[in-house]
Amino acid sequence: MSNPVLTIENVSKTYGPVRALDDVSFSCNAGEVHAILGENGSGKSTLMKIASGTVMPDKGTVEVDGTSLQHGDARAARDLGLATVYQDDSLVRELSIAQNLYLGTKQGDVPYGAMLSWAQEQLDRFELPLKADTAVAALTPAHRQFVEIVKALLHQPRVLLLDEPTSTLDLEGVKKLSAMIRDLKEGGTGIIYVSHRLPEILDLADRVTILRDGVFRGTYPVEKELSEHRLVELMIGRDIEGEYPPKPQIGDKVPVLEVNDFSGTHFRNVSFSAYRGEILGFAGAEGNGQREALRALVGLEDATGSVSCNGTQVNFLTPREALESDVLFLSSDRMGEAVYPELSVQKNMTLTRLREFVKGGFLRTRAENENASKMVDDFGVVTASLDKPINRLSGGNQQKAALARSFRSGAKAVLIDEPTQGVDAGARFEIYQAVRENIRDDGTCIVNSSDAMELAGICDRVLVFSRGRIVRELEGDDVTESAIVGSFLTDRQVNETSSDTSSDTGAGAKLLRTLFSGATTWWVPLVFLAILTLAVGTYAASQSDVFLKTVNIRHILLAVAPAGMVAMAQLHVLLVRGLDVSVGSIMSLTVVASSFLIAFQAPLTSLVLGVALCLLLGIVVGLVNGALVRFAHINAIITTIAMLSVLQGIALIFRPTPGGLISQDFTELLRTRVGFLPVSVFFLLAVAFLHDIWLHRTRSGLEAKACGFREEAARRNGVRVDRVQVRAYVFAALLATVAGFFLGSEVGVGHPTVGQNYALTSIAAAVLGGAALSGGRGSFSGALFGAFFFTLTINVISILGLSASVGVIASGLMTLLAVFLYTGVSQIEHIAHNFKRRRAFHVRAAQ
Amino acid sequence: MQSHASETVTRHPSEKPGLRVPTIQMRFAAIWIAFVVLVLIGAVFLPRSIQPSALQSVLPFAAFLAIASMGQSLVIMVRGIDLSVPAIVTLSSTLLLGISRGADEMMAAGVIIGLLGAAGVGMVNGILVAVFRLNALIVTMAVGSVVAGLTLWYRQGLPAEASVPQSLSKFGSQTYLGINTSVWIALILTCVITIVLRRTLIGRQFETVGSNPDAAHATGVRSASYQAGAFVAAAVLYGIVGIILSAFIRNPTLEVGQPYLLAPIAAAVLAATSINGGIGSMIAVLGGALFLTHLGQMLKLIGLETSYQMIIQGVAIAVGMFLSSFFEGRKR
Repeated sequence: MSNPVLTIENVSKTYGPVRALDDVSFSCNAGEVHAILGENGSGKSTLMKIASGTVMPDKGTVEVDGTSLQHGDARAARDLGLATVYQDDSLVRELSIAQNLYLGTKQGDVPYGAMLSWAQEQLDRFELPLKADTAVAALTPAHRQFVEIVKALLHQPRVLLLDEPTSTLDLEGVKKLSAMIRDLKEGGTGIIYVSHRLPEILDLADRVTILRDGVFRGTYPVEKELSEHRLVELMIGRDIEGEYPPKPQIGDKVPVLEVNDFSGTHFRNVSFSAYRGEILGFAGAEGNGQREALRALVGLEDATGSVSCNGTQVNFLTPREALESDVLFLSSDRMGEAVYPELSVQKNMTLTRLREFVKGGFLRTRAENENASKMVDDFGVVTASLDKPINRLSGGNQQKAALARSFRSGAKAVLIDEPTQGVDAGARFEIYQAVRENIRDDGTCIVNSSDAMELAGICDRVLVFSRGRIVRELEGDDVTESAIVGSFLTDRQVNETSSDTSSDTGAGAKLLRTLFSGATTWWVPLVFLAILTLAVGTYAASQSDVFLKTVNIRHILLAVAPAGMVAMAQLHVLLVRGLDVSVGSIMSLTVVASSFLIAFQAPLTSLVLGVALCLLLGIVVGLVNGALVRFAHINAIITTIAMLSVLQGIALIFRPTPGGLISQDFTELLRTRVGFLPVSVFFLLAVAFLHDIWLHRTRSGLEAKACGFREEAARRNGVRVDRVQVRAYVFAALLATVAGFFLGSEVGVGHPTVGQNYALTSIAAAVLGGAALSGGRGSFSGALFGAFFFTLTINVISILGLSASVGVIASGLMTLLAVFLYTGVSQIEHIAHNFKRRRAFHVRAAQ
Repeated sequence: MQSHASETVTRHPSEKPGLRVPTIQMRFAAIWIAFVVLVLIGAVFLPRSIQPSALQSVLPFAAFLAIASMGQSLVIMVRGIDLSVPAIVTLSSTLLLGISRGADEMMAAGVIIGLLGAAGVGMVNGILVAVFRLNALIVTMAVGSVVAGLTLWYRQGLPAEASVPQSLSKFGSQTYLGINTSVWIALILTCVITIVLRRTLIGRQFETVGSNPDAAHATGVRSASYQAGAFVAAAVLYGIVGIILSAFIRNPTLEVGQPYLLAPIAAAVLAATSINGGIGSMIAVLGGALFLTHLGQMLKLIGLETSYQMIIQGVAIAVGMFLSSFFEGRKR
């Protein structure tokens, strides 16, 4: 026992009612491979998160290389020499390999300019056949895993945490990984290897620590005597066979669900029948089409073919229509697709059978309550009351409630995806029992599971999928874990490379999408805007003599100043996936403040002081916005709406009506001309240029983008996410204040509501300039150009003598157009696609 | 089954099976408690604030705000937000003026077209948000802008001093049992919406769509229809505000909808309507509207300008949100 590099002592952690870890201790030595073994929900991933510093334990200590890890900080853990490779990859997919690796370095280690060649060196060192400038999204899952490992090894860590590293790898990949691990071990790195694949553990590990239900079950040296069977016993902690409910004899095989020639993107020619009273299992290695086939039966995936339930044709276009033909699906994504987190247990359970309780249009509460109580008893849901929000229950109880809803919905065919995912071991067996007991006499049940042991335990019959086809059917005594695993392993030599069948998208729609949301090249929207500007400009010039006059051009350029500044302000927040509705009121308040602080005929010193005070005000507003969003966890929209209200109120208190002249020296300064151009034009261009340099050419800009694309990944890379976010709100408020100065120079007096329409303009301009509401994308020059186009259009409308109302309408329509081009286009494709599906289905059904 | 259940109980001693405890929902009661405290504070320090005449004059405005806030709450319950409220209120008010031209016989047509116009705008909002999946904030702001422009253009063709039909203005100033008609309308709407939400299939499915639209879809609920429906129902409520507010003030201007941009959001948030969707109580929203209106009245009596109301609203939104996430016990 020499030289431990990672020591975990008496660590405990609870999440609400769930005890994830209970007093766990173990240590890993230098040059040792230490495996952590446990089922789903045994606390492995919580332990990983605590070891890597992303989660604070309630109790206990973590020591890396002899130094104790004080606070939940991934950065600190990294600096101490601990690196983590996560199971769900922590790479920012929209960025390139090089950018991702670069984010993993310490500030100043690698110059930004040398990023690409440096990253290529790192990849070559491990002989990976990858180009450093490839976007991560374009890589196969296996390659992503290796990039992840390369990133973890950048700092020559003392201890490396690998969380299920082989789940996406094929045999070749596993070999390569094993070789890498052996090399690292030679070099004295301690390796924590989390896995549930026993052969790998027996092959690689020196010692193994076993967790069950969050409790430490012992650490064992890996020796010849330690068999797989013994490990499983320790992991499960009970005699496996006895815990599954007995399988009844199925008498006559009466088909309930009949599926014929069912094909989709991930599965082909699937045909089978599910019989009365049986549990039919779908098996296969992850990603072989079994899940998609199950989802397609209720329309959650595209498919063709024919499905019938008790002899009537099933409409598998949407879950609602499938349910009308008595087919119901329960998703494996519990939080995302199966439960209603804030609603009560009762409401979660009775949803599918509410019609039973309706009398004269109203729900009979009594009948509903009684039935809900019965469901709770029948399915063994443990809850203090039926009114308790379901998210306060443990995963197992949530799942039982969801099962109760599914089985009591009246559906004849109940399809369950991963019935025990994220459920603790005790509850699993209750769930198996509940499933078995509640199949209707005239119904059937299909279970998809990645756990072969589970399928062997509960299913009467199992269909094994490989590459989208059913390759084997196991029945009766053949339904065993080894038979299931054996049949999908023998058929599968290599992992399929993700078949990226590009959808039948129209070229035009694709082009539009590239122009807007998909624009990884930031200048594309600029070109598009230039074309729009030319078109509008040419039209205006042909209709009006005034348009091209210097006076008018200058007028437009002056009006661009506030709009352009505020659009850039908005972009700061959009980049980190926020939204700031308060920018308009910041401008109003700045104008009002200027009328006091930068007042008419004030001496120069007080002018300077006034400007400084206004800017300070902006910074304070930004800090408050940022703090409320990040630290009080209030939704960004609501926060900035609240701020809008407060600032507008303050502006109106100081200037109930427009009044108070702003210093002429100041306004003149902002309106100075150079030649025939206003100086503000150069100022705006300089601001946009500098900001774009920051965004596209510095580490800090890259961090902002990473936060917008995928905050969790950025955090895992050691980006100080909160700081980046708060900074965005501060910069937004600051630029909005400057926009307020320009607006003030236009109106000249303290006008309390003059900025109120700029919130809308700023969003529209930034989006037109290539910013995405989903964060990460956009450019400051684009936002400026967007604002220019906006201003130009409003100007053209007024020059053509149209009424003021047209201008208001136009700005609304332009905003809608901007957001529509950004998300609406792909949605139209989606809607059209669904329409086609529907028509094709009905054509087939009619035949 | 029984033995397994007991086994689970021992592991989670805090949870007992099968017991049904009727609970008063604290999150919704809170705003009424706050309102009562506010009234009591007023009674002690500002006796004028609870004089019958003061209450009489302020109640109709509480009613208008309450109705608009119920609309906003419905939208928030499906995870949206609606910034087109002022535009819709003004639209229905202006349509009423334009169609009826102050004539009694055209009153019904004016009211109906006013409400239909509002519903139409709500439909556009709903389709853009629910079907095309555009950001609700931006859509409603932009649609609001378009509607405001159209209303402005339409209004230019009407006489500046246009007023509502006489019988409507009489209706607006009438009282039953000493309480203004608009207050009765607000109370009736509160009851109706509460019953629909709590006791009907539609209401229950609406809640699930708000709580988890994807799960609702997977369980066979028409998610998009309910989401769009929320915007339409809300718009009709704003339309009702436009009509009865016009009836109350007789000759409404284009500014008539302006107070309803932020106040309904504040009332909804104070009423603990969940921004994560699904959860909301119209009775609490009524309390929120009363609270804000009474607070505004007290400020006025102290001699503070209405602008202070905006600051209070802003603070109320932030505080309400913070408490709401506290009640939900989750950090996002």
